[in-house]
Amino acid sequence: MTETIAYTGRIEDERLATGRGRYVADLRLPRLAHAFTVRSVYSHAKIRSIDTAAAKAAPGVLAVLTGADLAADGIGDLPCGVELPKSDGQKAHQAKRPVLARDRVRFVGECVVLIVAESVEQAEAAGELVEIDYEPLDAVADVEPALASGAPAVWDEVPDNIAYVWKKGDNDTFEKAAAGAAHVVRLTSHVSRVTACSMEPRGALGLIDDEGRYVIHASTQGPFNMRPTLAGLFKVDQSKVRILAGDVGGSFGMKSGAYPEDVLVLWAAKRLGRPVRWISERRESFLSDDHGRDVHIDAELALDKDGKILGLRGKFDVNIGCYLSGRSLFMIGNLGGIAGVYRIPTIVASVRGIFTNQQTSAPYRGAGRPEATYAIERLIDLAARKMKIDPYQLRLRNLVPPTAMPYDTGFTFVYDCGEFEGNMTGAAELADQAGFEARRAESAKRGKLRGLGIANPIEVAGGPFAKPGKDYSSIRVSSDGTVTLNTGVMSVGQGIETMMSYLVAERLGVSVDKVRYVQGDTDLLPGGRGNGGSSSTGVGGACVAITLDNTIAKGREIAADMLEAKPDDIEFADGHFRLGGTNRAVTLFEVAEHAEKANDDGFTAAGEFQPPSVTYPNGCHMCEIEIDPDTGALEIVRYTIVEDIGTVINPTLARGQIHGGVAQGVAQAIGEKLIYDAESAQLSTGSFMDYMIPRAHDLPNINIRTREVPTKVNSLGAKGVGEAGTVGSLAATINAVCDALSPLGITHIEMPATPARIWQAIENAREAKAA
Amino acid sequence: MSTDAEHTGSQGRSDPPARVTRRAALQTAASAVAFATAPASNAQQTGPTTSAAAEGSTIRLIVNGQPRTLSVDPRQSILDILRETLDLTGTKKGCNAGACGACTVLLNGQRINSCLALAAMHDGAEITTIEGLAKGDDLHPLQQAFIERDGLQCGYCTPGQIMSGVACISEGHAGSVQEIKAWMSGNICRCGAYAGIVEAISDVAKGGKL
Repeated sequence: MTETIAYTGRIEDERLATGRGRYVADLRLPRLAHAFTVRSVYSHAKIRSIDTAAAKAAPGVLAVLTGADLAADGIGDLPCGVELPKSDGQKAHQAKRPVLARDRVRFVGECVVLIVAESVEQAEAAGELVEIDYEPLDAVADVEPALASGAPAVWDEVPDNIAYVWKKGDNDTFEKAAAGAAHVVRLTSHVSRVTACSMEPRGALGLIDDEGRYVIHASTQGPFNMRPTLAGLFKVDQSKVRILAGDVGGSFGMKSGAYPEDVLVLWAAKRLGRPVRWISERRESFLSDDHGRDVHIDAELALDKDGKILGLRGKFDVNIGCYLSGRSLFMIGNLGGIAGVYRIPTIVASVRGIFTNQQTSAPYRGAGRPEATYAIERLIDLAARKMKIDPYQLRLRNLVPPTAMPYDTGFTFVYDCGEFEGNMTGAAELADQAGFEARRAESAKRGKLRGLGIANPIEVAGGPFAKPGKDYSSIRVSSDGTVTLNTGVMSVGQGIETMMSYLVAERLGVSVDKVRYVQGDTDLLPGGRGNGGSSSTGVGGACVAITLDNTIAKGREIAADMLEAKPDDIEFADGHFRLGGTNRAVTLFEVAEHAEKANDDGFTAAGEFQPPSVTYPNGCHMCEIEIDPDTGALEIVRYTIVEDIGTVINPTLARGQIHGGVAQGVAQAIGEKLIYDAESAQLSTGSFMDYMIPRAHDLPNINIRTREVPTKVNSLGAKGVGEAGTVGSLAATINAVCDALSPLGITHIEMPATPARIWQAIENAREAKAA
Repeated sequence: MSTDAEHTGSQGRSDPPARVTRRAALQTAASAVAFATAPASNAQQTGPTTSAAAEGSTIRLIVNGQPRTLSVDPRQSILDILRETLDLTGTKKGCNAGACGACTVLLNGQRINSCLALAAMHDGAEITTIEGLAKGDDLHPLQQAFIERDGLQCGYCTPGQIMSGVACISEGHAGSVQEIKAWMSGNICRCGAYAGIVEAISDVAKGGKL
């Protein structure tokens, strides 16, 4: 934040800290009806019949509806739209997600029957009375069994369960590089399946307004993404659909598309003529929120005798679950990060989407970026270990220097700027890397194993990289002394209301409490990015800066009229339009008053911004851990980050984003994993009691230093921050665990590195040594 | 609290019985752990109170200083009463299983997971929710400290964190960072704002403002 206005905390906080937040479940409407969905208890089964008679007769029940009713009303499945080929070269099978399963269920938790009642208790009770006759089918719950010959096919049309294939790079070139290499190291590893677990579960309230339009209040991060999907399903023009998002209690990528329940509340509202609300229970969240990650990596890195990288090859099999959509492709769009911050002469990689009988996977904080960084950063550590070179030094030897910018990685990304060595030396200093060996020796005296892990993440932001998405915003200056800002990006907890309001206040010279921030209403703007891809500041904020330019330009025209001068002669500063060289001036709000008298539009301006290219936040993470070898218990003793997120607009908010990102990456590295029973494909970790969510005591103090190398891609110089913490922390934490265990001859441990796994690895190593 | 059968949407005869039994066992175990690790006040929930089995019991509560007489369904939790009957939506439902702390309120001065407390069992109780902390326009010191220390992001867990933090301090469990972390372990913040949460509680505990 610039010096002009003192920062006094987030604007949204007083509302949220006093219980006055407006989340979907907090809305109160007359005649509100409540929805409950009966979900599949089988991971894979045919539906022989559904008997809803008893449920329909239950107290308070207003409707009991099935997939047949949906079909009768002409409502189809959620769209797929994937054009990639499958393994036979033909276009991907359009494996669309149904709103309610009709003749077959493909994962535990799939919506089969919708019940609407006067109360949610009545709807749930009626759910117990629905009789569904299933014919169970064999199921697959992981990539390896899904690819085995003779595996059950999730889709009959795709017998090998390979939904899509994607490749880039020349394999022969890599083979030649590897053949001439002094060392080739290989990483086979699984980036576990996890779930976003937003504290606010998903929810939606649908109603039909006075004009007959479909209106949905949704817990979503992508109102403008949701609108065309819903309009398409209801076969109406997009102008007949309005999406509203109030406060959203976290989303992390998970709430970025239209879900079946969003369709159901609108459909039921239309049929019943009443508003209908569905709020997810936590047990439903675990089963039916889109899951994240679940990527199987098989990657090789070739190096010469001096440790110079010669080539990289990576194969990424993504467990996409049972349905296919654009959201299933996150690993492709963000894979470019495997190039890291290094000069790698040849990179070849492939991605395959694999069907299983599990909930679909989709973007989750980082969305392919943490997986890509994990691959390259683990490979470098494996190479360093093999070559007996310090991992820090091996990285330094291969860095892309600032003089090489802009740097074409030769794969998918072209980095515009970055000072990677500066990140590393800064982190080494902040983490007291020089003192690490002494600390390791001190730990050893206490019988503990200490490890230091490094990762140099670089991630694409404000994408997709092929064609960045556009954002819109608008401003109204009112004679009542307020400035209203509408943005196409939105906050789902990041404090964007604050960041944007300060941008407006500082530029227009008004106090921040005069700014009214409005987000998440598809009626107010032509479009908007919502939240995602670390783009709120770099794209949304830069869009607001353009809209502010347009506001001032418009104000100069109006002021020129008022002051009987030419717009070119009007200067704007500190909330006043002044005729240059005179003391004749009008205030921002006097201009608004004049404009309101002159025309209905008043003093308004709009802006849009589509970045010419993406940005690349980057940094260096150093994670230091200590392990008790007798129990496998792990403690993160310090965590250090030097992050180049470009120009920092609000340091407090940026710090919060980095903290939160690290929390999610570290937690996946040490504890989080969705576990499915191999045979039944039932979820075994379906509650907070058996799925590890980090608590206060699980997380270290995090030392953060930002190192600003502004991008020229947008006027603010901001690169994006939302995903940075997560992208580096997965690799840094696992590298630290492996470093701690390396004296025992252990080279790799799979995430999550739980005490049980660590203890077992230590025991195995001791037994192997004894043998 | 809901039965586990709903976890997979029980359809009677189609259910694989072994699976449901195992899940039900897990769920029961989960509740037991929640009781065991929660602050001592939770023990009150198991004590005998009014005849909760009767349909439509009438109970009296004092909520944020206001006396309330309520007809309650025996299945309703204090959380549901607060949110759905009294429209006090500041208290949040995060898991409905006592495992996330988003629904924390003070019951007779002690923190509880209101999703696990059946309303019918607490006739005569005095309840304080997030809406009852501020004095008019003056925020409670811990609310102010959360704002100053950036102790929240999405805000959904925040009412529960603050109520739990108030009790953490009044119980005398805020003497050190480690102690605060341990005694706040029942409250999840998925946004990872723990550093600010702990600092805020520490500030208020040190300042003796409560």
